[in-house]
Amino acid sequence: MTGRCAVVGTGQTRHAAARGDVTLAGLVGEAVDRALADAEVDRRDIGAVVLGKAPDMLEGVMSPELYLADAIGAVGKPVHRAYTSGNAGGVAASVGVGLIAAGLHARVLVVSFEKQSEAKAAGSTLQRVPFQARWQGGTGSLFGALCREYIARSGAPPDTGDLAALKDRRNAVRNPYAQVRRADITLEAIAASRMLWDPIRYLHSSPSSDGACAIVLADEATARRAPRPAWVHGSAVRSEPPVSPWHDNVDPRAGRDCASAVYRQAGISDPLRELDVAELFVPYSWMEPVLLENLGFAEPGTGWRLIDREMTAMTGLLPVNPSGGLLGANPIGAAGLVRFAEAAMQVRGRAGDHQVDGARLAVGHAAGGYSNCVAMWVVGSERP
Amino acid sequence: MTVEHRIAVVGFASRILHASDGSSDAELLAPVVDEALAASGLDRAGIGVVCTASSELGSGIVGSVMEVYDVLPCWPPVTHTHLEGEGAFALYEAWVRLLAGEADAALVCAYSRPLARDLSQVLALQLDPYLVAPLAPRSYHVAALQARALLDSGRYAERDLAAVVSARRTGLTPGAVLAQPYVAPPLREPDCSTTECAGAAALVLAVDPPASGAAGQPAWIAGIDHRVETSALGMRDLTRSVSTEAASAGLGLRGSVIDVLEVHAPYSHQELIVVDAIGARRVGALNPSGGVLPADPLGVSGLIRIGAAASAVSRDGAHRAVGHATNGPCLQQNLLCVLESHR
Repeated sequence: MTGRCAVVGTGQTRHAAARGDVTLAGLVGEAVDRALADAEVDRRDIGAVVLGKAPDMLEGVMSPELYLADAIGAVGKPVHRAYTSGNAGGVAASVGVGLIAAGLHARVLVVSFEKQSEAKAAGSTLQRVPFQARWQGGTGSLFGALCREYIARSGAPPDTGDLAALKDRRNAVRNPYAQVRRADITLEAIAASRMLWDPIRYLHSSPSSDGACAIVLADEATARRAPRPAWVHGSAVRSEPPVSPWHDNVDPRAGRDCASAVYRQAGISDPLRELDVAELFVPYSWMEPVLLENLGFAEPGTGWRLIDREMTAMTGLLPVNPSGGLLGANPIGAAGLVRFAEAAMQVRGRAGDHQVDGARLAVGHAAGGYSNCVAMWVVGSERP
Repeated sequence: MTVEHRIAVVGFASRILHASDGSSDAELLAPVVDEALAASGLDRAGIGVVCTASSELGSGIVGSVMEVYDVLPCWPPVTHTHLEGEGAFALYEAWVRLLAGEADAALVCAYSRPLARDLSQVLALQLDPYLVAPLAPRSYHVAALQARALLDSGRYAERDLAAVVSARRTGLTPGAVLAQPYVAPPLREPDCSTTECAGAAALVLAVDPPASGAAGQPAWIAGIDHRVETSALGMRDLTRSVSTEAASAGLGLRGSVIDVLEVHAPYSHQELIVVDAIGARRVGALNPSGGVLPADPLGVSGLIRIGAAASAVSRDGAHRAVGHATNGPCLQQNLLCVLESHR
């Protein structure tokens, strides 16, 4: 990267299964207003807007950056659409970092949303994959097969998914923006919940959500004057073909390469010990051990041991998803940006009841497609 | 915004099919990628950024990019992103990523294979989803509001629209255009671009390329600017394109000399509005590629305009060429890309 970049404001909506009280524009505006207020700027201070969003077909609004131009404060400015896959929010953040690093703008607003209540996500994401039969199983069936393969390789015990779900669900209780906050959640309830796609149970799974997220990025000169900036120490996007002899759904090279790129940029050699917080894109709890290995926090076959030893709990060596992650809310297109924003909130000391004490360096992660599209960033309280 | 000339277009190829030949998106795109890369002199391993674009609501395929990865230089994994919409914006993103130092070369691709028989219904989904889209206007109905406003302003008459059509569609005189019935007054069928076609385009960008490559001279990107306007049609002066005016001013094009201007105008009257909005002192050649009225593959047309402008610089000796791309109803969003022969 050429120019330094920092997060100077974040905002989220109250995520819910159905936000019938707002239109798409109202939902997005809620997050934008909060991010601008947090950054102590207004719409006139923004040079360009990036809108991240999963497929248009979900809500049936084509090029929603057009209809939303007013709501996101983009009128008269450049607005750029980012998508790629479920990693849309992370890709949007990376475009924003690029606009700052290239020296094109002093402040960029990055916005992501999904309003699943106005969508048919499960149905409209049933993709036609070349050379494969149509499964008609939705995304859960893809992850079920992936997690079974992970268990076969690692020998992870059956309660791994329960423990990871319990941790995220307990964390979500402390996050005021989370949609699913069950203070009474127990390991027994999770283990007894309905099996959906073996080994994935109902309470291992993220909900369907309406939600939006926005962040304000700033260049170095602007960020130095801003309240507690979260400096971007590394930012990367990697994709690989989803159907190829080399593609490994469980341990995709795109994930490994993306992680090593951001760690290299941030000067991190031991991510498990050097990072203070990780916000990972875990739509099903069984994906946490998978990602811990793919992203370099654990050796192959050992990710489940970190969960078993509670090393990713709030009090562990590396708290993973203090916000509750996607199990707290999964507004698809926004979910990635929420991970990036939560990482920034932690190093800014603004995560409220789910703040990790003394967090200085955090990673945000978003993934999509067939685990073949990955976006990550590392943010820190110190200027790199 | 204009920038230091370090990034150039070094390869471009495009393809349009007027009738479906049964090919998949990947089959449509593959030869175009190969041709653009061959023209650039770069091999696949030299590409560090890949930005692609398609219109999934146009083609009816969610996640269409998953089907074209075999064609893209994405193994080992590279910085690849995909967007839904006009390919010119994928070019913008690739340019930004190269400016930010993410790689030395980028491949930009757009492809479109509309399955919908009538895209004019699908495009209504770009409008306000609560108040306007449910009225189900066809895209040419919305464009006709703009054309009517332009004619009512007194700046142009129907014969001016017919002259644009005649210049873009071979073998059609202005008189023959005016003899045709309206589809939505004051627009006639030949005023509206032909969207029943498939298309693909690929363009290669390089940082500090050699002075002369396989494709000829590099076409240096002097700047790219794009702006969006309000989605409320009633709040816009539809007879102008203020977003194009702002982009043109940002690039220093107003009052300048442009050797070749390639305009993405899906309706005849929009060519007049965009050219006025750019406000050049002199335009040497307008739409030498033929413009988009004869063939307007959704999400590909704008990238082709920029590729054509780059080709005018790298092959045909133009000193300064400008490519324009638009997205949305009544020219809601506009992008200008300035290409020059000298650093």
